[in-house]
Amino acid sequence: MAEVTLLNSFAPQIACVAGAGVAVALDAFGKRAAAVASVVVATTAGGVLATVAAGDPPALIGDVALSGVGFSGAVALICLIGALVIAGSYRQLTAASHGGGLAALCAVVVAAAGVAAAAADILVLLLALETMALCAYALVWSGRTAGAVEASVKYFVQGAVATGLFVLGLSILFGLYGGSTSYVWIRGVMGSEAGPPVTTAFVLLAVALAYKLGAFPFHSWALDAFEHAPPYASSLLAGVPKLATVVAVMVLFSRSVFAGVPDEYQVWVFAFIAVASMAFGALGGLAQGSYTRMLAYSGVAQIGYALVAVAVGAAGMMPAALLVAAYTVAGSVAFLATAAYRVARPGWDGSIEGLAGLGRERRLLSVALGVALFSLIGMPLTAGFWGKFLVFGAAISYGYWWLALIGVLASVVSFGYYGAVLRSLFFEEAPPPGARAVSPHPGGASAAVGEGEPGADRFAEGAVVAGGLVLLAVGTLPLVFGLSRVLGFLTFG
Amino acid sequence: MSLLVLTMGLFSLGLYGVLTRRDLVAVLASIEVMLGAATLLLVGLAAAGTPAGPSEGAVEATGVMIIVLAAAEAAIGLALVISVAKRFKTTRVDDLAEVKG
Repeated sequence: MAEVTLLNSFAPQIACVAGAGVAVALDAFGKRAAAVASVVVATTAGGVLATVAAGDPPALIGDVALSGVGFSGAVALICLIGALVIAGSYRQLTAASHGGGLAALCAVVVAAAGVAAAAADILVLLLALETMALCAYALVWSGRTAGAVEASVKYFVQGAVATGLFVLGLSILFGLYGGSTSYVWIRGVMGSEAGPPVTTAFVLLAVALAYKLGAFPFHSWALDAFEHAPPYASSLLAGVPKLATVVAVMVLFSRSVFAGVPDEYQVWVFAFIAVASMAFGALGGLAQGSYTRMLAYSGVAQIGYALVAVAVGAAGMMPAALLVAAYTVAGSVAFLATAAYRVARPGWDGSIEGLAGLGRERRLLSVALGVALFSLIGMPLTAGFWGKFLVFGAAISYGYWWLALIGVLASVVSFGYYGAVLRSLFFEEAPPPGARAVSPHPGGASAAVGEGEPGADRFAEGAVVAGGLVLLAVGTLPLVFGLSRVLGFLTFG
Repeated sequence: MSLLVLTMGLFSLGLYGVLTRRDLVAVLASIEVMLGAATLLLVGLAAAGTPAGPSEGAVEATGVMIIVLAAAEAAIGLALVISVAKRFKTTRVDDLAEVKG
């Protein structure tokens, strides 16, 4: 009976892995298109399964997984966003060598993210995070440019150190609180005791997860990896794993293992990382000429906003989930747009100025990208607004008004670089055809500056437009129906 | 106590190696030392006697899981190092200057 329940609760993730298996087999026979399609079908099916399960009451099964309302909601979002990104990358993946295998890696990332979000056991969380990371190194590497290879090595070394810290923290908790790695068990044995071992484990796990999230002092891999990774990899990795990791952090620190330790730990550790990430992401992004590197800085800032909610404690959980979900859609869409623009302007060097005039050439795509950027800023009428509104609201109502103030200031500053993209797209003239060859930013997305006729990547454009519509819908519909529907999906039982 | 000193010493040694060694193969070896030290702490703490846990085998199972994880990581890491060696004709970190930061 136990196995059956376990199977049910992990059905979405199993569907994703099954799709990955089929894709690898099809890729071996050279059927890339079918392989990518099977992955898209599998992840969509996983999303549907999880959405259906989101109606069930929350349940703790054995000591392995939580399922039901909130966690299935998070898993559903992970699967559906993953499906959107992989479908949008159809053209790139079918053009890449072993594209079916790359699509399979994407599906495994989605499945592992689903497991991480639903994990209720430190060992399960570690294995899920590590599965995501191992696939991520390979996906970043698959750009095969000098920049991508080097960024993937750097990513690997830093990720491996984070894994080491995580394993050490796990060993301390496991060794001292005995015999099981399940959150519930450790919580029960540990009680509200807070001696040096608990502090050590807390700091080790917090640092390791901050690495995985790319939060400020541990962010340097993210800047390089997201700048140099091919668009299918950056759009997947910038979103789905971060959503899963933020949910896992909330469950681990606010709702289970460390829920009993004094609040000051959580507040000071996470408030420091949050403030530093927001400030660094907002100010650092201003100086960037490369579009993808700017988005990487924006990702650091967004994780900072999410960690504000973590610092607030258990009450910040739902706001954090909404904020990161909105970021995941908007960030994935913004990275995916690079693929579309590269096809639309084959000589594009990856710089923000290089986008000049593309807003008129590819209007629908650029308007959808604009919606995503507005959502990242947190403008009203987009999904990002509700995320920031609730996170900063929770911070203020728990007395951390200074965290909210810094967050609002960082959002205003970040308008500078998102606005630069919009200005370049819509208010600047396209350069004459001969002038495009000069590359003022050698680091910027050096890859795949293919020459050729401008065309249209229908898949990437479709995915960007779909993402933009979702962000608009989530941003406007609550004005009519109230926020409870959206939040009901993300309520953590 | 001696267990704690040993494992923390090993872990610190590994971390020191990752931060200071300039050759990717040595960095990879240092990472393995870190993971090994953490596993040793796990197994050692269990052997020293812990509050009654649900099952005796859980520690061993967790230890084996971590060893498998370390092996998977080493496989990916070595593949990356080989691809770096082929492309740049070196495995020294200093010689890789394409990416800033």
